[in-house]
Amino acid sequence: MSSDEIVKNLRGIWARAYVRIIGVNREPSWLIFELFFPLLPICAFAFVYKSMNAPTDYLGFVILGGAMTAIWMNVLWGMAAQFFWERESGNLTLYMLCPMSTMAVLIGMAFGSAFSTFFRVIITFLIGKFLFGVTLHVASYFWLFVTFILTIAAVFSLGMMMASFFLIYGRDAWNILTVFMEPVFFMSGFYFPVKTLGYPLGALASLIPITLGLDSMRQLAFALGPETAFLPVKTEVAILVVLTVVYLAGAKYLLNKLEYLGRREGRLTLRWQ
Amino acid sequence: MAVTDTLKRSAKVVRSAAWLGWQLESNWADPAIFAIITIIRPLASLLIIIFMFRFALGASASADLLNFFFIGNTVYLFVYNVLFGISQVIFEDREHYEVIKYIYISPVNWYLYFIGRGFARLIIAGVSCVVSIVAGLIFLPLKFNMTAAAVPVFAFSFLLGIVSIFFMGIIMCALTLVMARHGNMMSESISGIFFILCGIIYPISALPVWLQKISTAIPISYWLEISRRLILNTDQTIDAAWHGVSTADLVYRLGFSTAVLFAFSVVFFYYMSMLARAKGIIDRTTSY
Repeated sequence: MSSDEIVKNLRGIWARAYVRIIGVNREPSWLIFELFFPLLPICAFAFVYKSMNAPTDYLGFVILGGAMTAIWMNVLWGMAAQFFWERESGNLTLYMLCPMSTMAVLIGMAFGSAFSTFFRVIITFLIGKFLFGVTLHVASYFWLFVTFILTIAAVFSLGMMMASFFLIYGRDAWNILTVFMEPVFFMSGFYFPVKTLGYPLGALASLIPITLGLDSMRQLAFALGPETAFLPVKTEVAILVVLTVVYLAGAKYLLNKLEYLGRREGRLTLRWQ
Repeated sequence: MAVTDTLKRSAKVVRSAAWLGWQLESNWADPAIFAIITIIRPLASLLIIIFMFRFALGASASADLLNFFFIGNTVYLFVYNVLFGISQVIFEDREHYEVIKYIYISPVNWYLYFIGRGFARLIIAGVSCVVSIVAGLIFLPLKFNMTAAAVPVFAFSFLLGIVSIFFMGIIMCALTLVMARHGNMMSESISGIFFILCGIIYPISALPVWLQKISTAIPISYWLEISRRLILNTDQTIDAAWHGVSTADLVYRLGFSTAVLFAFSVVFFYYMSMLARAKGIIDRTTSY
């Protein structure tokens, strides 16, 4: 890729992100719905542990899982399924006409909603601290940071792969995407350590990067975390690196392939499927 | 005669809207895939709680606690599906299919149209409920001790509960009329509020006292407590917030609050639809 192309793609990323940032400013109520209301189910799961008189660290597990739901929801609905809405509103065709990669559009979407997503993550932790008395016992800030960044990278790469399906599929892909909500919350252990599922099921769940990311972060951030470990942190970090590379390559291949199919079958402009 | 005609016409609107809703919900896939997608989410929700119990309590989780959460979680399937389903209709008709203006100018009662559209989700909730019960019987030490005498009361309270969430759905639908597409988070969020406050998966008595006062004023809380008492055949459950309140009193409270919800939903829906028309946003689309 030439430097000219890199600049064009960077400008494309900023252009797509800009619309979202401005959109949030124009509709402040968006912040309320995106930030505060999704925190309610998280509080409910924390109350479940509280009603069982479970250790405070268990509540912390829920808070951490809840914070990661913000990122997962952003990937699912703000990124993967966004191509569905773009096609419905006619923007998808415009993206195809632009001299930039489709991946740049998707990265732009991710950056555009990063503000509200990370704000929600912070608020989730503040609720954990002040409402439920959750305290972090961080073993290593360096590894915690590395794990978090790698988890985000792997999850966003997976999101780009999922987005590619919306280049040819419509309502069917939208409905199937709903399967990636509660079943993923269950399989990835958003509200309990994935070790509880047992190793065979946990290994299968590890294909979703957030599973290993959550397990590592719990080990690094809570006193009881190491007792519930699925795999050692360094092994999980290595797997996350592999997953990031594989999903990124998969996203590039699928976006090109399905865009070609979409063009050939005339589906890029097909609405109300 | 005029009354009969009006009732027939109203029934026709609800029936047609329900049929349309069912087609929209189900015709995107073949029945097998649709069935899998329909059952997988409630099953996963149930498994999340089961594994939370398993993780925190191991084998020491009491049968009373498991029964308590299971009944709450199963009833909540109706709450979530109907609330989400009715308010989502606005986004589907306005932003996806862009037909809301045609429905608005057609000679149908809008309020009844949205009620009808909610029926498709009610059916899905019913299926999910059956799946949930089967899964519960497999994974949990459930006990169903309902007596024959309690069946009519259970059926009546269940009907009142369903009707009350339809009215709540209409209230959310009315709010959605004046909101951009991100309003679809609202129905999830309101369901989240009920999830916290109504003692779905833990007793209301586990909440702070000031929250308990709000919780015990919500119709869904009455519905849940009545269902639990009748299914488990007991005068009181593990939820101390309801100790001292009789089942008959709870049924009365549920009936009264449903009537209030009906009146409010009618007034609020017509006010918001007039407001949306006055602002010129009935067919607004948003694409951030």
